[in-house]
Amino acid sequence: MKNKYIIIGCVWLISVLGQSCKKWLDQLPINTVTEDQAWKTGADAEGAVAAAFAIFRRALSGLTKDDTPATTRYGSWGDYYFWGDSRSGDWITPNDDGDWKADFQNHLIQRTELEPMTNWRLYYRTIEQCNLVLEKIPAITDGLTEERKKQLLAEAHFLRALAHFYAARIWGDIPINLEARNVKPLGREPLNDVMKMVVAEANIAIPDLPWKREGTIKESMSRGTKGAALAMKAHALMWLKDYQGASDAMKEIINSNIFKLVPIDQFRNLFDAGESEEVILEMYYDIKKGETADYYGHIMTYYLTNPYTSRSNLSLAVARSKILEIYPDYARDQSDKRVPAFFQSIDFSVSASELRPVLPDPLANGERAIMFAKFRKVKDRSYSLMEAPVPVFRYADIVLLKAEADARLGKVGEALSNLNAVRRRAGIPDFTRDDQPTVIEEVLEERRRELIGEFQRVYDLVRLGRLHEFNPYITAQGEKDGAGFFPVSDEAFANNPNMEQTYYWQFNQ
Amino acid sequence: MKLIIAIALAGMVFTSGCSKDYYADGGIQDIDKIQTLGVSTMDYLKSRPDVFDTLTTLITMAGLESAVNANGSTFLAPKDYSIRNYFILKYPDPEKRPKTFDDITEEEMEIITANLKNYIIPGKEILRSSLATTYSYDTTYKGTKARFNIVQDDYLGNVNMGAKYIIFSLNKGNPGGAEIYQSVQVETADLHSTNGVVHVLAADSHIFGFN
Repeated sequence: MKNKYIIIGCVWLISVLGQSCKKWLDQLPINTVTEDQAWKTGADAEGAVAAAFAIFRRALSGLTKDDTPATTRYGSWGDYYFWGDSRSGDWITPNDDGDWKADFQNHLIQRTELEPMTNWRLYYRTIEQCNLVLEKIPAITDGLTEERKKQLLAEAHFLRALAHFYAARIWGDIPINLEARNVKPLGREPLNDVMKMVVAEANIAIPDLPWKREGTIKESMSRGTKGAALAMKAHALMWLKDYQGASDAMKEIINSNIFKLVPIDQFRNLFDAGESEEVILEMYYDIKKGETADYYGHIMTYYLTNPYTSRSNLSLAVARSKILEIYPDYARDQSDKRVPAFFQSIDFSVSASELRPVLPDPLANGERAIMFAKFRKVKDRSYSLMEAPVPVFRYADIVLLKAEADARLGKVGEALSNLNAVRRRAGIPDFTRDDQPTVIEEVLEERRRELIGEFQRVYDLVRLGRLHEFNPYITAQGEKDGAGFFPVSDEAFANNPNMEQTYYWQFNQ
Repeated sequence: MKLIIAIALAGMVFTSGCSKDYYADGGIQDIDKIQTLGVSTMDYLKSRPDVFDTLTTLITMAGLESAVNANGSTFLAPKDYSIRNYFILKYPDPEKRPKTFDDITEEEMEIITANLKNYIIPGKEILRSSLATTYSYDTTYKGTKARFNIVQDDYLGNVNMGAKYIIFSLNKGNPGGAEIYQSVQVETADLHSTNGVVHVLAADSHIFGFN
């Protein structure tokens, strides 16, 4: 009998042990991607570079609770506007929003809700992704032609330079990170060194980048192209005050004949759809690919009201007196066609449950009730379908920037011809005075008129140290101390003894 | 015995907790009562110096007290914030902006007087209940055409539901030319003074004089 139990015991033991011999511990779920698997084929390389651009698009929009628990807000706000436009002195908040007001007045630390705008985390995530691409892609051979590999590497060089460039315009001195998986505590490098690095990276990227890519214009112009890299290089050289270098880079863009100033009646294609020959670089959303910005995440939420969204009052606007000041030709004889293209008056006396009509006179409404409608969506009283692209560089910006560079080099005739090309398109008379300081000043004003709300104005003013002339809350000394730049967020100081706050923000809120 | 006392105590606790006073609220406020000011329009405005002291001073300086206090009239009261924004708009340079009421020039006072007259609707008490979503028209004390209508908004976009606002619009078109109306929302409506009706205008986006 005893033997019987032993036999049964053995059989049982074998059956249990035998089953457990399957190597289930060594198996990976099909959808797990670890680093040594992620960089094998051409498709992996394509995906990695596309992901880097996707992170950059999110960086422009601003980070959210999903990106870091340190932040308080659930959705981003379209932070590109708050970095590049809001403090220019041109904007008001018609419904007296406290956060926007604090931002206009450069009180960037005292309000918790503005804290996410001081955080550069997503720019460095973009940079990290590019660094990984540059480290890993050279070894990939499966399904990747040498030519395509070169292009992808050039795009990574371009994008990591662009992320540094964009962040440097916002924060001034920033860390330079050109190494994958960098865990060293990086300190901030002087702005000029960052811009020199940007130019060097652009020079590496430009030869291998195409002028155009396959697909629609917005698909083509939302990734690394020669035009975008040259535009970035020119902008960086303007910060370095190398006007000859900047002018030469922009000459290449103009001579390429890829881009042109489109007539005003095609502005809807340009600003609403991003499908225009004037686009050099933009970050786009595409409804057909399931990408839109909803209530949060797009600055249009705060510009537009009924009939474009379900909002009944304006949160961000340009005051009517300011519009007349910025566009003197319109104030004189209503000739500047950009005013009706960029601004609208809505009949606010019509019921909120209907689509409110747009009045024929763009400035019919009162001082604090003109809608900034440069970027629009379909009229449907919803926040969905916000797919207007976020502009980074466009041809008119480059034409005017070249005019500025040429004017500073003393080539006034050339500067005037570019300045007047933009003025003629807008339907205003040629500028004829040719003394250098006046032309430089007029080019700057023309950039203000043409690029209003395109996240360029504050960077122009900070580059020239002139933000204090237009924003009464910033003093000349404050600007010298760094008031034009955003403060660095607390998060950047964690475990980093080399991090330093901008001088101005050590003493101000 | 102890058990009986304990049960009695417990019973007391439960029964005393049953008082129905706990649920009693104050009922619906008598709308006529809270909206009746019991004083004249001017006296009401003066009783709220926190929002109207600049307005009342300007009315007195313009000599429009009797018009504001005229029997059976409607006054649409712009808040001080709207008037402040008016001065900032007219005098962007803070150096040139009048610092006291004495600094206001005679020409400026004439413009202000004309503007003030546009906020008075003489001889008619305009109440929210008498207005509709369609437009109705009246004439201000200055003789400008004024337009009133109701906008209804439940913040969700449903039709004909939710809070009803009065929208007051003024014709800013050139005399003889096309009529161009600028609108302002009424923030507090239907206040009954002893002589007429007062509506308080939203100040955020409205600038005194419909600029």
